[in-house]
Amino acid sequence: MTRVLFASFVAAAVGYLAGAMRPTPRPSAPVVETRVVRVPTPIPASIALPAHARAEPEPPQRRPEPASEHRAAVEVGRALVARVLAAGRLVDEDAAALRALLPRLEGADDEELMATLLPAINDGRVLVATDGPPF
Amino acid sequence: MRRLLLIVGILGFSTTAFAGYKWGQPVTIDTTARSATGTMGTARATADSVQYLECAASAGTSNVVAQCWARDAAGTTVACRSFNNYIFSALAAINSDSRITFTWDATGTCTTVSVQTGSSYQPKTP
Repeated sequence: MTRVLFASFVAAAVGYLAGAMRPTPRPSAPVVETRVVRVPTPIPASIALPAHARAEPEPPQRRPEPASEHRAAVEVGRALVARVLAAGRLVDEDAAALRALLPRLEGADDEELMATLLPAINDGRVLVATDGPPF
Repeated sequence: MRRLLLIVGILGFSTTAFAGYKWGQPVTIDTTARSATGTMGTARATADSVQYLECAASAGTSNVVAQCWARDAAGTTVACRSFNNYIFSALAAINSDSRITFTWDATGTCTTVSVQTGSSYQPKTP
């Protein structure tokens, strides 16, 4: 009798343990969506770079014309205008030289040169003897 | 024969009736008023091989240059030059059928440039 009771107890215990160890079905895992939201954080003034330091680097500038070349162009222009005024005529060669020279002059030098030549042309002191425009 | 004459007459009349107003001006220079004017088509069409009317606009990275020249039938030549943005912009309106008028000051600086374009102006022909 005792054996029967013991065997029943063991069987119940085994059954209990077996039931406890059986994996229980899990509910389907929820889909988790992750979003990264960046909130701009003000940079403390103590560590912020100045605006010019943060700007994109500028493309390389054209090398400025050396001062000596510029001075030479101004001198050539003055000599040309002086020669034209002295001759009282502006010929095709002068016009071609002016067309080549003027883009190399800076604003003030250009103005100075043309403020000498243009009134002479417009007043008739210099005869424009070119096929086309005088410069 | 009479019918042929009638047709020719009608065609001739039609051409006259539908021709618009035409006008042109050769290069005219007033050195006292410091003014030059003319229509491009007429200046080119003159038989003298002397007249011209021309403007040029050029720009760099930091400045603009506008210049105009004119020579009349007598060979009088005038020119002006300007770095002014308004003068420069006006030159953009010029086309080959335009009438151009420009004025200048005592230094040769362009003071005004006027560009007119109209149906009456003679178109430029080769």
